[in-house]
Amino acid sequence: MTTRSFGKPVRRTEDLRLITGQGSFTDDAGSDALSLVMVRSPYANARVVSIDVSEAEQLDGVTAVLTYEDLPDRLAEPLPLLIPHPSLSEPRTQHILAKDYVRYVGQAVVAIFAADRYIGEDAAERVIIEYESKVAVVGIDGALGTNLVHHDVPKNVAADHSEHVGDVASALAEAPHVLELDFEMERSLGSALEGRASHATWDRHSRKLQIQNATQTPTSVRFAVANILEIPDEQVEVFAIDVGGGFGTKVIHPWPEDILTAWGAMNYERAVKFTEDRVEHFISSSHERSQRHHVKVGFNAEGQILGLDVDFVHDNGAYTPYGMIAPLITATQLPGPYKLPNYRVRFRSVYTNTVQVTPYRGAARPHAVFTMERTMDRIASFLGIDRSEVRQRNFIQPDEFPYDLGMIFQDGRPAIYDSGDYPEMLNKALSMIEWDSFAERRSQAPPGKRRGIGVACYVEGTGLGPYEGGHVRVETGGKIQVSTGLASSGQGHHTVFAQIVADELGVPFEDVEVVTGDTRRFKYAVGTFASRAAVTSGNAVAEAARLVKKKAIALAADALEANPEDLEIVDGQVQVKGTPVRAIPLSQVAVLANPLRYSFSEAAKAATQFAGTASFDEPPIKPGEDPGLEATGWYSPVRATFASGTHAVEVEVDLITSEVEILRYCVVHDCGRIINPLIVEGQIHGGVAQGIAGALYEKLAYDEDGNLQNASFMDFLMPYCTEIPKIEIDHLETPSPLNPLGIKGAGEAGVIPVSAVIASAIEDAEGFEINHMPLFPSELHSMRLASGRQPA
Amino acid sequence: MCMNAEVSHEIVLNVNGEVKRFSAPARRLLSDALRGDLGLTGTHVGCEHGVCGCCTVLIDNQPVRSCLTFAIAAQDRKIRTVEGLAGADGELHPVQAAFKECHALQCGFCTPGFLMTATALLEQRPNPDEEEITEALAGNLCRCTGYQNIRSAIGHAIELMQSDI
Amino acid sequence: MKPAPFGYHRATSVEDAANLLSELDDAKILAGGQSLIPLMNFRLSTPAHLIDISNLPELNEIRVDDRSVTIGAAVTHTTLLKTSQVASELPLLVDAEKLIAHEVIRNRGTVCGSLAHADPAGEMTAVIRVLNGAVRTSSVEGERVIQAVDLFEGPLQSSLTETEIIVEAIFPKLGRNSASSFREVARRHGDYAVAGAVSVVDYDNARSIESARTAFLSVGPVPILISFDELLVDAKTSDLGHDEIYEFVSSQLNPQNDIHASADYRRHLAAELAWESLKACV
Repeated sequence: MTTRSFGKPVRRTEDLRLITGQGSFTDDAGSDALSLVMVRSPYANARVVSIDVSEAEQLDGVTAVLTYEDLPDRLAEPLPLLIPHPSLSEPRTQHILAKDYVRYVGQAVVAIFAADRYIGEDAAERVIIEYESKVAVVGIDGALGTNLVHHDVPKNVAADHSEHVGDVASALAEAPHVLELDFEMERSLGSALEGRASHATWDRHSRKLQIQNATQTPTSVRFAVANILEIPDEQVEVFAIDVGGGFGTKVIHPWPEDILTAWGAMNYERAVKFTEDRVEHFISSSHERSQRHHVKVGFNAEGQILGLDVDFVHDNGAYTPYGMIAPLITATQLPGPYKLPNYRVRFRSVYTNTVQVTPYRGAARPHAVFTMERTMDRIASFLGIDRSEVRQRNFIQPDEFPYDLGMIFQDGRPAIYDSGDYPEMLNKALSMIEWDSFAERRSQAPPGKRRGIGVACYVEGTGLGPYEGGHVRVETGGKIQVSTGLASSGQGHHTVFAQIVADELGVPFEDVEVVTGDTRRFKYAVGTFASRAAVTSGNAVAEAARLVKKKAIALAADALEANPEDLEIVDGQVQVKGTPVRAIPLSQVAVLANPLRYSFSEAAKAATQFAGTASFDEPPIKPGEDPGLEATGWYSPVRATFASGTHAVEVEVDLITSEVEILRYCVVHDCGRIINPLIVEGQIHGGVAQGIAGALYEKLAYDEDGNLQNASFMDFLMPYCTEIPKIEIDHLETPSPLNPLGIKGAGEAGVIPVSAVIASAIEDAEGFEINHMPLFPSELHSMRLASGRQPA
Repeated sequence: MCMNAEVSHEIVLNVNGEVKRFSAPARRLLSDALRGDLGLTGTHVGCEHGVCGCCTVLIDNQPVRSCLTFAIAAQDRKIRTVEGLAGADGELHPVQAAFKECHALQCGFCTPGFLMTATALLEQRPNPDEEEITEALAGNLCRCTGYQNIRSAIGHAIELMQSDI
Repeated sequence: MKPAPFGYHRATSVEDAANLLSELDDAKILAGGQSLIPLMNFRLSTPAHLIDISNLPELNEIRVDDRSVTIGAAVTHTTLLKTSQVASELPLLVDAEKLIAHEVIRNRGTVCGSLAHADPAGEMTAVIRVLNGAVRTSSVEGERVIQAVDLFEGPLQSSLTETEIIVEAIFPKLGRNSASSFREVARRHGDYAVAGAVSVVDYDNARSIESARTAFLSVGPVPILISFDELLVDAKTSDLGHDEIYEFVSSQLNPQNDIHASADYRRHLAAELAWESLKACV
């Protein structure tokens, strides 16, 4: 019997290349390529008065220096608005090179094609640009003020959107208790260690653009390039190979540089590459995380929420290429695991003269969870009830699934929770952190320290559609080739999808090879984000494997003169159940599947022994059939599947330095059935680390002129190993009824409740309210002084 | 890389035991020389200001930021990169094997820097304590793993190396 | 971020380095480069020439005698950290070294390079200040000795002339009746300190305090030295009071707000760290 690998901590097939320095990251390609170097605006809001490129052009090693005026017509339009929405009344996207105006520090103004990046930067220094700078609109206060980012967008409002369930106004009016609360989270970014990168070559003989791009969505980069350059899709291929972290930033937007490298390769008939440096990643990629919430919550004496009204402002930066997806996710994920019969949410997505905002791991769920979980804690505090107890009293119960929230989710479909067990999830977490006995540990805090404990729960919509596809092919040499269109940036897809196919098809795991994110192998895909890859591509390759298995069995049945129902595939052999002696290897079935005259190998020759039962009245390939032992499968979910989890943390605050030390960090996590526990836990580790980073260390600091003051790793503080504690994980599995594998997504879970749970614990330690994250020691110090709660 | 009007130096580097020669200006960073001039793309570039550690290589067996070193200043030194860790027959260095066994990498971008740092640590101190391991790893950023499995991998590498003795 | 072009010159001796520094327009000394090269990569520093002194054996020496520890310009932080004679005869240097950046930076960066860089957040600038050390420099005009109190003029601004190169740094040793302690708070392990205090207390044979002083990092444009003599002279160690020290220090420091910390918080930290480091000298 084949050993099943689903559920096993199989070691990754990706690793051998990566640990021997044989990875293929985008910048690794083409040391002979022309380098695209951008000149970027130093002003947050300015009119471009004049550009003089004459000195730059003359530099040795410079091929061309382009301004907006030099762009061909098809590149002169604003970049596309990828996700329109009826509420997004004032969308704006940037031009490939700034046309007349710049709206953020970092916006691309001039493109230089040079022999290498060194020379390109020399040329960039010689470009003389005159700007007429205007007042910059920075931060939510700025956006709500009188100055405008775009002169034709009133009040800087890109979108004003509301959703509601039930009757909140009445619920609040009748509630025994009502609290009004304000919360805020500040701006950050994904900050993968590999920045954005693209490498394009144009082969004029085959008329093909080949683009390696550090992207989470190669198929969409392909369509964007083909559409904008006005060339047939078939002339463009995009592949990702190795990507050094994505975290949402590398989902297509698309970037000006994606288009310029492709166009440059065609125009100059040279390979062209763009590799952004760290400063550019800070000032010209994507940011996220800045929202301000106002909450009105009505509840009864037991702490059950009767009505919740949330009005929030979302800072979307200077442009909205990705529409209003981020705040929409906040709005629809806010209810979390709780029953909210009366819920109203309204948000305004507003412009500021800062980098555009697009989803970053968690995709604006952290804000939703922060608001909901802080609100729960406040209810508990108001009523004097234990924080975990309040949550239990509001949970959707295990027997209430499927649970319809009554709202439309980010995928345009109803938000209906499919499965989960929130009470059990919370109990497990409380037990892990030893919640009930905390009072004693609190009293044991050494002099000069205060201890606190916190808990936070979340629900995450994952496995979004509209679809993914998978292709499985059995080679005549015996290898199983699998491909799917979405890309990989560390999630272990090659391993996980191989596990799935190996189990479905009945072949050894070692014989399965997987390629992801390569349009030359698979052309239709959505992409890797929203914790969807395992669910969608996983189910798609499973479906493809099932189809291949069915075909293999049919062919083998013919060859072995057996009944298909009596056949099984074990270790790559199609055999009669009970008499494995009667078997045919899949590799030979693959030969039989392709009725070619030529045998290219000994194995192919051997297969001819099985040919012969075909009827002479029928063609070798019947109508509706395909040659070859391969199949394409699709998975198109009817709607998202909802993962969930609870985090619990114990902290110790130093009363002199106000530094926060995490004593224990516990995670209980439900992503349905687990394909590879090693990989799922790795995703949680990484997510929690980013969450801790976002709670205690990372904040993008814009000054009032729209300059980013910490556009480097020296001042944007990403945690080292010394700042991240041990992360303890326990699992719960409530399988998803929505897909055959029963799986839910796991990629973002780790980061979603972290700010909420750490705020909860610090508040518990200090005894004053924490409404704002991230929280640095300096601020905590000021807050303690202001609260009057000085140390004894 | 292309010739330009700048003065070009003949630079000789000893990398992974081999002598390599190429022409480059004085300002060519060692990171770029390794990747571009010598085609050794295993060493990665994450920040170019010495904070992230992706570019870490060994110079005379000590970890060093190749983004903060000029290639021309690294002549007469013994440079080791990730490409030189495995044996000639492809046998993985214990640190490499440990990283794979412990799932200590996800996207792999920071990994060469960690591997070189860990190799230097274990060459200097075959049996480091927790504090020494932490101190050695403390200068490398990872955005994917949350460091949990990287720590385990060092522990496992120590076991592998001790069982080899 | 790639540096601008520059001419590269490998000095064959100190004299050669001084000559080159004098002859070449807009030249800088390259030792470990760990402070200079990041600035060059950002193009915040664009010297036309670099004079590499890292290979000169005469600059790679550490001398320990009765009075001081003298560190050559090419000596790296790691070399200093691993020199056992320094650990036993002036342990404050080793304590400070452990707080400097990360090992990988210490492997290339030099002690004298840190001093020339004159970063008020640098540990070595505070140490040389509290020990009342000096640097010996060389130029075509000759040699001179610059006392620590005269070495730092502003943030990243030393008093070195354009043609002058630090040859060695001199750190006076502490007497048998002296104690020292370094305390700092950083946001992440290895970061520049948000605030730091390095204290030295000298006792007489009866364990009365003869003198006490603390140098602060990250709270001013240069390392700031505060003397506690007027408060503490002739006092017994048991007389030290937290609140008095705290007020005394707070009233003399005027740090700035920045994105990492408010001025108030820095001042508070500095005062607390002064107290802790003085207490540790007791």
